[in-house]
Order: sequence, then structure tokens, then C-alpha cells
Amino acid sequence: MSYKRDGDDLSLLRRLKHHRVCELLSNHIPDDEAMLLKNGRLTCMICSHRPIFDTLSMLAIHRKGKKHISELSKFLVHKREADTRKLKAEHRRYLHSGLAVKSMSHAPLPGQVQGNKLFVTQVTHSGGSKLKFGLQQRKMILDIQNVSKEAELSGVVTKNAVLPSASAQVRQYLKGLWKKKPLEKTVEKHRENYGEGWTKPLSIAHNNSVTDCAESKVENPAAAARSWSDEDIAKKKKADHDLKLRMNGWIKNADGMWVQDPDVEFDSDEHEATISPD
Amino acid sequence: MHLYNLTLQRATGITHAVHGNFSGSKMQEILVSRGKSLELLRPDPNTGKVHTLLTVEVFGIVRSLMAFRLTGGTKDYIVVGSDSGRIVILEYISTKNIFEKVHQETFGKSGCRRIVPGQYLAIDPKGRAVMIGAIEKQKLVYILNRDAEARLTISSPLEAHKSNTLVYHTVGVDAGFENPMFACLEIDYEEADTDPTGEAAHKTQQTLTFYELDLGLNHVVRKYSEPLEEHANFLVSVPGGNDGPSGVLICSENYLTYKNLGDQHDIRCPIPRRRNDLDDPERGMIFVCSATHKTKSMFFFLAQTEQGDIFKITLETDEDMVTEIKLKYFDTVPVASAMCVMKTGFLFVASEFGNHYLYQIAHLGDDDDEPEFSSAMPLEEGDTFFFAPRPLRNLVLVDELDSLSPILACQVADLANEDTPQLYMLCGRGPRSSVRVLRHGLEVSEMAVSELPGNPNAVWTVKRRVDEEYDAYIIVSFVNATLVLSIGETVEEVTDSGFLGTTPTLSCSALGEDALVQVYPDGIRHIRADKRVNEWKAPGKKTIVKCAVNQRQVVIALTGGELVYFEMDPTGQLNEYTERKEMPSEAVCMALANVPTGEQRSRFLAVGLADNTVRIISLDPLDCLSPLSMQALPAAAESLCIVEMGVGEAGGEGEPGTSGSLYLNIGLQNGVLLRTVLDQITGDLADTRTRYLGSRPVKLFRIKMQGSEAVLAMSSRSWLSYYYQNRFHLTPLSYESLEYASGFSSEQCPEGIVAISTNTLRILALEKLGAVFNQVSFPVDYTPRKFVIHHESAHLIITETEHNAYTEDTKKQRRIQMAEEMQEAAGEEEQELAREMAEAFLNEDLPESVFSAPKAGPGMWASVIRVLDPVEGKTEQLIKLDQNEAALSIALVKFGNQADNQQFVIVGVAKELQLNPRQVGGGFLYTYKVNADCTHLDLVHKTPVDEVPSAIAPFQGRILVGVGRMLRLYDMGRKKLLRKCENKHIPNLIVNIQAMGHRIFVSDVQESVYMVRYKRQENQLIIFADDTHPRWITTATILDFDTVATADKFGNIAVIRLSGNITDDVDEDPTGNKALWDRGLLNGASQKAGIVANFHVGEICMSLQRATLIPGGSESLVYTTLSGTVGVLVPFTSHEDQDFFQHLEMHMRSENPPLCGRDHLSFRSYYYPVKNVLDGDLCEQFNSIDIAKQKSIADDLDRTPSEVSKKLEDIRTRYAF
Repeated sequence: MSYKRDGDDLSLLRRLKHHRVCELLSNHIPDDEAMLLKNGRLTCMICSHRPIFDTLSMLAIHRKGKKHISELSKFLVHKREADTRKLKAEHRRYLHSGLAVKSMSHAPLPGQVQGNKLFVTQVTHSGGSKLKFGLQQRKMILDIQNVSKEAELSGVVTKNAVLPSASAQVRQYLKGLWKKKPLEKTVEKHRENYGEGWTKPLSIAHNNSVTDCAESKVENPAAAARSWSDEDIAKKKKADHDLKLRMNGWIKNADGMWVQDPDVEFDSDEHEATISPD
Repeated sequence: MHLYNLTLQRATGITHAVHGNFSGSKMQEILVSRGKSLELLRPDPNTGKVHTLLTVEVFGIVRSLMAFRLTGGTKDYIVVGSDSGRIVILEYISTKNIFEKVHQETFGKSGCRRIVPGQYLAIDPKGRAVMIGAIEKQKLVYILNRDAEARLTISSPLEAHKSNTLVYHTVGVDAGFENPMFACLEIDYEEADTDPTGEAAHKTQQTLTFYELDLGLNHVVRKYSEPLEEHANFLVSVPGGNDGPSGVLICSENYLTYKNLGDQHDIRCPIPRRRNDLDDPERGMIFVCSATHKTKSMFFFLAQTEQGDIFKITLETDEDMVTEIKLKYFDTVPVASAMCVMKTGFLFVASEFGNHYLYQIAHLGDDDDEPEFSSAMPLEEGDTFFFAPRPLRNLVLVDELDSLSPILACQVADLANEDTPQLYMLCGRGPRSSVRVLRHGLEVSEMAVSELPGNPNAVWTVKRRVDEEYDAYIIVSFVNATLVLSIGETVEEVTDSGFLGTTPTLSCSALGEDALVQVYPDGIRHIRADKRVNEWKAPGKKTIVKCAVNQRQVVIALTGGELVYFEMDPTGQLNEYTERKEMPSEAVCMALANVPTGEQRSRFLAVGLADNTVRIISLDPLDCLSPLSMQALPAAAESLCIVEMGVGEAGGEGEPGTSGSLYLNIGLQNGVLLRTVLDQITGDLADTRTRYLGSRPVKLFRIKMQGSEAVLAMSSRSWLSYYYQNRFHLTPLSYESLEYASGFSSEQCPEGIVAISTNTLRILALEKLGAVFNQVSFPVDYTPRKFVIHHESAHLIITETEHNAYTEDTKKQRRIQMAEEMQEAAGEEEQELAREMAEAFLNEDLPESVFSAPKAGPGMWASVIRVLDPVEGKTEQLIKLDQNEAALSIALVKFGNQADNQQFVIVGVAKELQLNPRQVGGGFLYTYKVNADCTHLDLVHKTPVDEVPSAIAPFQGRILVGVGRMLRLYDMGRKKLLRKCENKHIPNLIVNIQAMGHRIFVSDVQESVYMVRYKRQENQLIIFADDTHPRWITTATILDFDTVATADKFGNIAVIRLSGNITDDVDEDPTGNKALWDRGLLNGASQKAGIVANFHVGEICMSLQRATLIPGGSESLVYTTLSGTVGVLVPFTSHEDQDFFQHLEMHMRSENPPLCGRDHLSFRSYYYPVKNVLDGDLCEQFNSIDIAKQKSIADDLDRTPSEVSKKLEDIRTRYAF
């Protein structure tokens, strides 16, 4: 980092002001299409080669560029494909378990539209399943056998059949653009307090996973009922034992066997079993 | 968070000391600098006790100090060279008891810089000029003179600069009334700097240069310069003119040389060495300090070597030509940073480390059998004289000033179960080190204790005549009798005093010139000097319940609340006032003030009534016995006392001192003391201060302390309320609880207290007024470095480590070896003599605390581990480590894989540690098992490590060890400690480890604090955040989970905090393929801590601890410094307070700029801008600035001066003392 300033202060101030105005006027960049790195720089999440930019204005300029536009079209196609694939997978899983399992991914992937709601509505409209109960209700597992193979993918297939036009895709993309959280806010927050910018995604991720787990628990009351079985206690004991071993410098090798970490010291007669599993 | 800095005890180490007649009277005072404060001391020539007259914080670093006197003057001025870039001349004004800045001349930038003068001061002995020099290049000379009104004037500076010159010392040469001359030890490095071969650097010689101030031309010239043979370290000016030969003594390694201008030959004399010294004989000996004594007829010098031996140096002259230097071993005292010889025959020794001493020079050492060494004695080059050190012969110790400096570690804990926590400190250096236990309270010296027949109720002392200096009688009242004791050589009972012995006494006092009065339940007995007795009997069935007496007045309260007033008329008759006063309820206590000098009576009587009020009643003849004011109390009054406090010292020429004001002290039955200002005109009561003293009703007694009035308040603990150095002090006495007391004055004890406690009569003295702490000191062998407290047994485990030292074993071996050599070297016929000498040498036992320990050379270490009971002072166990093992760190831990309550002590030891350049031959972690009552440590095993184990901390049932720059986690193993995990990313050297939960705060010696998290799953220690500033950490402490307070070696305290959104759940880069730009800023951690507070203390803090200092008080951050300061940083609880003090500080900065010329804000921002810390030391100076300024500041704050000082007092007493 250099503290040397070129030019006198007046011009610097003017330049800074100009930058600020540019930043304010720069196109709206959604939070999930660019990422603030922990060193304070930015990267475009649309372009697959992840270019790095120093300022928001640079990123804005990049977003107007030819390269970005072409990458964007590729990205949209990819995204659509990914969405479909995911949809199919979810659907299949749903058919097998009879439960609408929510995505377990920690954070929405960049550029990903909040797909779950869409998915649910689509599913209710699809002919085969006749979903009458709410998400919270218990689904009779017995129904699974009744689901025919043909019905299995019908909902998805029909969706696949009608491909929206490219212009419609762009329109939809542009529409969704303004609904998303702008990146500037994230950047600003980051500037207000050092170190926040990049911890935020982590903490969000953490929260998400927590809520997800909670939800899945509620959705699966059977599992909740089982939670304190002997098996779980044994599992917990094993986990504790594993932790103890790890803290004592044991590591698992490729075969899943505990071996001594060569960087850690042990008593000469110490072996894995000597660490009491309680 | 906003903090308020309060100094509880100022620095105790002395950096400079000068003496002179600063008050302008015949008395000589000593002015000492304690780094950033100036203190004026006066040794009492009669008692030999050193009293402090004044202490002033200067908010700057005092780098040099000199006293001077204008020709023909009688008063000495003070020149201060500081880091302010200014020369400051101060005058002590004894009437106001302040230092006044007479002159302040700016010459350069502030800060301790190489070429800005301030480091050296030299005064022309005739007081005509002063030279102020920098370490390099610059020297300025100011001419001092008088103007028409005889005020001191200072000229514009005259430059005597010479570039490429380093200065070692400067003195003013005594040239009589010739042109003023200054001598400097200099070295010109220009040639050495430009010579690429490095040859010149070896060749360059130090020079002695004389600078002459030509008063006629108003110009300074470099008059003469001469290269010196040896490298010298300081100069002593030799009296000149009519008093001596003039010239300088040059103190250099192994030699003392006399030089002067003109035809004078150099006279050179080797510095004598100790015979059979264990020191390395190749090591040079230097003088470190000197003092000059000059009378009209003679002069001599006392010079001290670095071993502490003082030599008396005299010069033999032949017609103003010096022919011979004579040296004589005088005595050995601790190594001093400054010595002063006073006209009264005292030698003040300001020790480099540890306590300071005042000695009486009993003999001049002229006629004893001590050999005298002379420059005229023929010696071969390189040979020297030898002497044998011995206990004091010429000096007699008369007083000792406690000094904590240097404090190396401190912990606050209540190990003695006393409710009020004690401060446990490791102090001192080398063989003069000690462990000290500090308790809040005034030290009480017990002069006498005698048993009495039965339990007395009360005690008084009276003088026979008003003009007598000492008390004549002690009157002790019992339930049904009164005992009169006369004070003389011994204290014995008398019956001819005229006092009525068959009744209890309510009060007694001297009355008028030479009469006495005794008030007892049935009447008043007036005893005239000729033993005539006048009695006044209480009327009818009424008895006297309470009374108040002073030198001329007696007021009594009869049962039913009737007041009767008596006053002495000019004939000495005690007359009753015609009217009596009926009070609405029973009187429970009464008080009269002393009669002001030159007046007939005290105008006010204070009466406490049973209806929970105190009333002030006029005794003025115009409206006698009419009520003036009343104050309601929260509880019934127990005792009243009116004193006059805040009286300035009377000036030397009979000018009156500033008058104080009257204070009514009210002791309540619920243990609370109220202090109220009693208006001297109207008798109104205002500005009440409250303080809880203890569980018992508060009884008050007026006594004299250092010539002014003070109040002794007795509850479950005894307290002394006194006014000292412009501040009210209310300090508990460190003594058992007392029941009744009175002032006491006798020849042996001019200012004492006579008190009763159960059935004993005690005579006590309070000598260390102003001291906040009283201390108990236990000596230890080597410099104590660190300690841990074993809380279950209240024992301390201390590591003591000394560099440049031999262990006891090595010393013994060396002694034996030297004794053998002695015998071998002796010839045939000397064998017998040699054996005797060797024997004597082996049995010689000179205490190292006085005679200093032998120096073993760099890289030689001696260490011990000590288990100490700090209550009894008993060493339970002493573990001696081998030669060259340095114990550097210690921790008390419980291991998770060991028995539950088994504690271990881990000591980090470095082997063969070289300090510069830092090299180490390895290290060890010694693991000791501690027995249950912590009296014995058992070595379990020794774990070798490859670097210096400089910090250890317990962590989740294991230990964290800083091994050099590696942070390691160790677990207990069978044969050694087992290294479980390691982090290598701390840059230099780990000096401190603190852990809370899974967070670890690791301090690097130069790169501030690293926040580390231990990940259990991966068994990894991962740095997740660090600080943005480089800090050379000396100590750190955790304030909460996110906040850590640090102190650095430049004297700063900083509080740094992890902001709420910093996460410690980060991954280290395990694959190493993280992109370069993703590694965080400047290779540091990717998250940064923020700075909450910054403050420059000005002294190196060695300990920081969050602690409560008073029972029921709030927590504060306690720090101690190397110079011996104990201070606290206390958090503000309300925004209003913070706002108030912020404004007060701002006003104080502008209204009361610091004495040495340094700007307060820039001093507190020395290294980092001060942030969120307000300086209470500056705010408290509010009480000592003059009234007009106080008023204007208080007006700006929308308050009255007394409200401001009440707020100052409040915040202090809420957290500390």
C-alpha cells in the first residue's frame, strides 16, 4: 500500500468526489453477481474467468463490456440448464421420499433465482402427484409405491418442452435485477467496519444452515422422535472420542485408520486405544 | 468506552537530584526528578526525616536538572532540560507552595531527539550562564542576569554548535569571575563516518573541549580541545577562583584524571579496586556518580563506583597548581543515580534501584586507619590500588525513603483475608530486590505501648504553658477515676497536678497562658498556674453531659439540653455568660474551633442534638448563643470536630501563609463521616462530603500533623483526614482499631498520637503522610521476574533471574579456587600468612544487598524458583537452577489428563541465553508437581525445547507455550510434556499469552497482539485477527472476550477490541494454493482489531490487571510501571461524567500548561494519538491552581469550584483511594 499522493490535494479531492459520484450513478449491480473479496477488491461472478476490479466503477464499466455480455448470455443458458437439472433432481427425490425437501445448499448460488417457491408452485400444478397437504403435514410413505414411472418426470418434462425465447430470458433477468440487494450496500458496510465485508457471507451461510436444519427437523418429526436413541448416544460418544483423538494429534489415513500425526509428540506407549472413549 | 487515568502512587525512582536553598530560607532542600514529576524534599535537620514539600506532575520527561544561584543571591533557581524543546527556569514560592515558571524559552522541536538540546545542562558556578546541550551537535548558552527590579532575566541563546560531534557530559568550569567556561566530553565522528576502511572508527579519540562565553563580546568560542587517552564517562568540576585550583576531574575507565587549562600538568590516578574481588579482574571500573562538598576553607568530592564504593577525593595544591590527587575509601552504599551533600552534614543517596537513603556524615574519614591512595604513589601502567570494603564507618543511616522502582510484576489479590485487597509486587534489581506487599493505609510507627489498670474511656494531653513546645501531662479518664501522667524522660503518674482524680473526666485542656481546665460530670475545675483552683458546680440535680473546650472558651451541656457558656477574661478568670441556652433536645456532641491567632474567641459552637441535627451557634458577644445555621443528618451525630485546613505554609520572612477555611467534621453513629465547610463569616454550612468509614460510630479527634490541623476519625478502623499538598486525604491507618486518641508531643516524638485501645495506652507516630500505601518488604536473592499465586494456600511462586551473575554454587567454587591460588602464589615464608588470608577470604561475608553482587559477564545467568508465603514472609522452598539457566516464564496449571486437583508449576528456562545478539543454547520446560498446601514443588520432568520459552499459559487442561516465535500446545506426558500442535506465524518472539474460551491472545515482542483460535477438530492453532499497529508489548490482559489491554515498552497503554462481526471461525489455508491477493493485508491476518483507547503513561508499564481495589468498589484496570507508579484506568459509567471531565481536562490544558513546557496533549499522544482516555492527573491539578482560575474554569463548566473538586474526589473514591 502506498501513501504517496500524486497531485496536490485539491485535485485529489476532486478526483475522489468524481469517483464517489460515479459510484453512486453506476449501474445497479446485484449482490450476487459480483463478490467483494476480503482484500476489498471485487470480482464479477457472471464471467467464468472471474476478473478482479479495484473499484465499483471499474466493475460497472466491465459489466457494460462486450465480453461480459457474451458471458452473461452463456451464464443465463447455463443457469437455466442448471435450474432444470436441479428441478429434476428435486422432483425425483420428492417422488421417492414423498417429502418436499428443501435445498440443503448453504447459500443461494450466485445468480440463482430463489428457486424454491417457483418449484413448489410448479409441483402443485403438475398433474401426477396431487399434493393436497401442507408442507408441515406428514405424508403417508405408503403412497410412494403408487407413483407410476410415467408420472415421475412429467412435470419437469412439460416444462422442458416450452423453452422461453432468448429475449424473454433477458427480460426476466433484467426484471429480477432490481429486486436483488445491491452490491454497493455490502461494499459500504464493509468499509464502515474493517473485516465485515467478507465475514458476512459466512455468517449468512451459517444462519442459513441453521435454519435449514431446524426446518428439516420439523419436517421430519419421525427423526426427531428417534433423536435420543441408544444409537445416537453411541454416535455422540464416538464423535467425542474422535475429537479427543484429533486433539491428541491422531489423524485418519486413507483407509480410515487412526495414525499418529508425525508433527505431534506422543508418549512412547501411547496408541489409539489408550485414549479412553468416554 | 472512555477511561479516566488516575495515579494512585507516583513514581518512586529518582532520575536526578539537586540540592539548594530553593525556599530562600537557611534550610537546604533537595529537588528530585522522578521521570515525569518533580518533588521537593526537605530533610529535617533535627530528626533526620525527609519530608516532601511539594510534588508536581510535569507531563514531560525531565532529562536534566540543575540548581543555580545568581551572584550575591540567597535563593536557588532550578533549570529544567526536558523533552519539550524548551529551557525552563523554575522558582519555588514557599508561601504558596508552588513552583513558578520564571522563564520558558523555546529552542527546538519537542521530543527526546538527537540534536535538540535538553539532555545536558551545565551551570556556571557563579550563576552567570547556563549551557544546554543535545546529544549531538547543538549547544546553546543563555546568559542569566538581573533586571532593575532584581528579577532574573535570561538572554537570547548563543550557539556553540559543532556538527558531527557527540557529547557525553558537560559541566560548568569554575573560573571565578573570569569569563564563564564550560567543559564537554565530546567525540568527533566525522572522520570515522567517512572512512570506508573503518580504521578511523578505531582511532577516533574522545576529546575534552572547553567552551568560553565571552561576556564582553556576547559570544561563545570553542576555546581549547584535547584528545583523551581513555574513554571517559563523566566530568566533575573543581572549585576555582578563590576557593580552589579550578579545572575538571575526568572520570574514565580505571582512571581519574585532573586537567586544567594553562601550565597545569595532567594528574592521573587509578581507581582503586576491591581486594580479592570475585568480579572479572579484566573488567574496567568506572565512577558513576559524584557529589561535591565545598565550604569556605576546603572542598572534597565523593565519587561512587559502579560497585557502590564511595571514595573521598581531595586535591593537593601548590600555588593553584594541583600536584596530587588523593583517594580514600569512604564507605559503601547502594549504587546511586545522584548524591547530594548537604550543609547540615547529610548525604542524600538517590538509589538507581530500590529505596533511597539519607545518611548523616558522622566522620569525614580524615583520621582513621584506612589507607589513602595518591597519584604520587608510583605504580606501573595497568596496575592499581586495592582496598577492602567494609560496613559503614563514616556514614550513619538516618532515613530511608521507600521506592518500589523497578516494579517488575504486580498482582492484586486478597491473600491475607483482609477484605481490602493487597498489591503483591516484585520490586528491585539484583541483590537489592524484594517482594513487597502493599496495603492501602498510612504506616503507623508504634513508639510505646503501656498497660493501664482497667479500661480507660478517654485520654487527653495538655501543656503546662501555652508557649511550651511539648506536652506536660497525659490525662486518662476511667469509669470512676482520672489518672494523670506526667511526660518527661519517662511517663509516670503524678498527683500534684491539681486535677481531680476521683471522678471521670469529660474533657480537659490548657486554658489561656498557663492554666488548665478539667470538665467532669459535676462541674468545672479551673486550675491556675499557682495551683489555685476555681470550681464551678453544676446546679441542682443536673449534671454535665457534654462539653467543648478550647484555649479560651468552655461550653457545657447540662442534662435536658441546656447550654452554659464560659469565656476567659483578660485577667485569666473563667466567667459564665449571663444567659443560658435551652436546646430543643438533648445535646449529644459539641465542638469548638481553636481560637484563631490574634483573636479573643472562636466565633462558632457546633452542637449535635438527639433530633439528628447539627446546629451552629454564635459565640460573638453581639449575638451570643443565637443559632446561626442548622443541618439535618441522616443519622444521629456521634462526634463533632471543627478544624481549619488548607492553610498555606508561612513564608520565611514572617509573611503570613494563605488562610485556610473551617471545616466541620461530623461523625455519625452509622459509621459515616461528613465534612462540611463552615463559613467563617456567617456560620453557614455548605459543600458536604460523605465517606463511610466503618461499622462503628465515628469518633473524631483533632491532632496536629506537620504543623497543620488534621482529624483522626475512629470507627471500626481509624482514619486520618488531612490536607496535604493541596489535596484532602482521608486515609486509613494500618493499625488495629483504637477507641480514643489525642495529639501528643514530646522530645522523642514531636508529632505523635496518644491513643487507647482496650486497656493499653499507645503512643503512635505517623511519618509518611501523603503515602497511599504502606508496604511490607521481603528480600529475595535475584531480580524477581514473574510470579503466580497459588490461591488455595495463598502462596506465591516466584521466578528470580539475574543476568551477569553467578549462582551461589559457582560463587563458592570461585572463592575456593581463588583461595587456593592465593596460597599457591605465596612464597615459602608467607605460607602461614597466605593460609590465614585465604581462610579470612573464605569466611568473608559481605551482604550483597549493600556491596553488590559480583558481575559474571554477559551470557551468565543465575536463577531460583521460590515458594513464598507473602503473609508471613517465609520462604517455603527455594529451588536453585544451574549456572546459565534463566527462568523466564512461569504458570500454574491443571492438566486434563491428570488427577482433578493436582496442580503443576511449569517454568520456562532458557539455557545459555545471550541477549544481544539474541542467541540461545536451547531451553527447558520444568514441570513441578505442587503439593496440596503449596509448600513443596517436586520436579516431574524436564522437557527440552529448541528456543526460549518466554511465555506459558494454561489452556483447556493443557498449556500453551511461546517457544521463541512458535506458539505450541503441550499436554502432560509421562516422560516429558508432549507437543500437540504448533503455530509458526507469530513474527518475532512471544512475550505473553492470554486465553479465554477458545480464544488466545498472543503478544509478540514487537508486533502487538495476535488473536488465535484453537480448532479442536483439526487440532490447529489459527490466527484469525491481529492489530493494525506495531506495539512492543510488555504485558497484556484480557478485558473481555473481544477486548485486550496492552502496554508497550514506550510507555503506552492501548485497549484493542475485535469488532462484533469479526469471526474466529476461519480456516487456515491448508493447501497453500490460496491466491496471493487473498492472503490479507501486508501478510497479516485478514481481520483486524480496532483501537478503543490509547494513552501514553510516560513510564514503561510492566503489569496490567483488571481488579477491584476497594471493597464494594467497581473494577478498574490497575497498572504498575518500572519507575514505581501505581495507577488505574477507570471506565466512565455515565456520559455526563465523561463530558464533564473532558471539558475540565480541556480547560486545564489551556489554563494550567505543564511546568516543563511540554504540551499536555502532545505528551499524552507521544506515540499514538490519545484516544478515549482522560487524564485525571491533570484534572486533579485543578485543586492546586489559584482560586481565580479555579473559579473561571468552574464557571465555564456551569459549576462552583467546590462542586468540581467534589466530582474529582468522587470519581477517585469510587474506584480507589
